[in-house]
This record gives sequence, structure tokens and C-alpha cells, in this order.
Amino acid sequence: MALIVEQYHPAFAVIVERYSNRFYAFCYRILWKREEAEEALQEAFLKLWTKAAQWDPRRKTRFTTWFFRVILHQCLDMKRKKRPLPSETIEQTAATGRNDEHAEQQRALYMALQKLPPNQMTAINLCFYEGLSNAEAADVMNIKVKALESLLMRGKASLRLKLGIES
Amino acid sequence: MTSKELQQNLSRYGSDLSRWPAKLRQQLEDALGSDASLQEILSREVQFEHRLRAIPLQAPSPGLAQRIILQAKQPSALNTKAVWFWPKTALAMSLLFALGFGLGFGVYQRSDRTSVKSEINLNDFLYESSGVSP
Repeated sequence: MALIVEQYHPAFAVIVERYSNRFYAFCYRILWKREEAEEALQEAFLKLWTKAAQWDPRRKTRFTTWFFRVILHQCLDMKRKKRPLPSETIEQTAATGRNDEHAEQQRALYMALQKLPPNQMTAINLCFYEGLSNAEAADVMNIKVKALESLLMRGKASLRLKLGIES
Repeated sequence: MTSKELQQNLSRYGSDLSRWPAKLRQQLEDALGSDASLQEILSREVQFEHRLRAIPLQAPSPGLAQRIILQAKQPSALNTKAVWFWPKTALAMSLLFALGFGLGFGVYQRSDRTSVKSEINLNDFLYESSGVSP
């Protein structure tokens, strides 16, 4: 990070190559559209390049926490500007080609994930998919740990309901 | 630990018990040995998470990382905000200037006309009303 603050481009390139797939997946699970996820990721990395000095190691914020926050803001900003996905687009994306009951349930789950309120989806994204601890995820979302856990519980409960799993 | 508490804790911390707080994990491990219903809830959660992980992800387009790296190299990347911000500011300033100029010119014209009119009135008063030609 110190090298990026000093505008050392090879250090930036290493970070992008190492983390772009991971952070792309995070963006995708919020925006559910490849082009938008790529655009959000690109903007976030450019912010990292141009505003790296804003990350203050003395504040004891880990780089990933800080950068997740940058990406999250970028994604939510983009989500606010765009129109919601029409349901037929969601169904097309969810189609897996299989027609058995399991595939049907996966389609329902995929659609349910896309329809989750953004804060619940973000909580699941950070804790479940990205493996952040509850405290780290709460820090990224700038909320209390209890509030994050409540988001996780509500989000997962509504997904279980879609799959017909008792809570 | 009751079934309800287990379900809540699974929602909070997930089915990977290494992510649980040590005290809760110990409680669960103690309870799991003697309660089959808790084992059932845990295995359902494992299946649920397996399905969540199986959700397909559209892969990024090829060369995404390279595009980002190259874009950062361009000089405009250092001031991306200014690229769109300045033309808008310049346009707003021009409009304000034009408006200001228009208003100023209008006021000047108006005051000029008034002074000519008052001058005529003065002439009327000085010469015509007294029957004297200027």
C-alpha cells in the first residue's frame, strides 16, 4: 500500500492481478450483471490508485476492510442509479439448462438472492462468501455487530423459506 | 443449546464451527453428541450453504485486470473527477456570466433611457412650459 501511495504502478498492478477476481465476485453478487460489476470494480481500483493516501494505517483499519468499503460504496451507488432487473432477465440468468427439482430450487434461490434487500445481501456476501468475521463485516458496513447479525438472520431466513427449509 | 438457539447461531456464524466463538462452539459440541435433532439442523445448514455456494457466477470478461492496470496508467486516471467536473463548471460559469452581462446591459440601457426621458422632461419644463423655445 505504501508503494501505491507513492504512485508506484507495478505495485498497483500486482494488487489488481491478485485480487480482481475476488473483488469482482463481490461486486457481481451485489449488482448481478457482469458489465456493471466490472465497471464498479474498475472505478473502485481507480479510486485506490488515485486516493490511496486516504488509507491511514495508523487508524488500524486493514487494507481489505478499507477497500471492501470503497467497493461497496461504488456498487451501492451504481445500484441506486440503475433500474431494477426485469424479472425475465433474472430468470434467463438463473437458467442452468437442467429441469429437475434441484435445478428448479437453485433457480428459485438465485432469484431470491437477487431480490434480497441490498444490506442483507451485503452481509451474506461479506460473511458467507468472502469469509470476513462478523466484526470485520460490520466494520465494512459501518454498523454494529448486532445489527449485522440481525441482517444475516433475516437474509438467510428468507432464503431458507424459498428452498422450503424450516428455520 | 436449544434447536432455536442453534438455528440462530448458524445464521450468525455459519456451519463452519471454527468461525464460532469458542464458548458457543464448546456448548454445541457438548450438545451434539446427545441430541440427534441438533445434528439434523446442522446437516441441513451444511446443505443449505452448499446450495448457496453452487449459485453460478458470470465470469468476468477476459483481460479485466489488464484493462484496469492500463487505465490507471493514463494521465486522466489521476483526475477522473476533474474530467467530467470542469466542463460542467465552465458551462455553468459561462451561463452565469452571460446572465450577468445581460442583466447589466439591460439595467444600463434602462437607466440611459430614463436619463434621456428626464432630460426631455427638463427641457419641457425649462422651455416649453414657460413658452420659450430651446
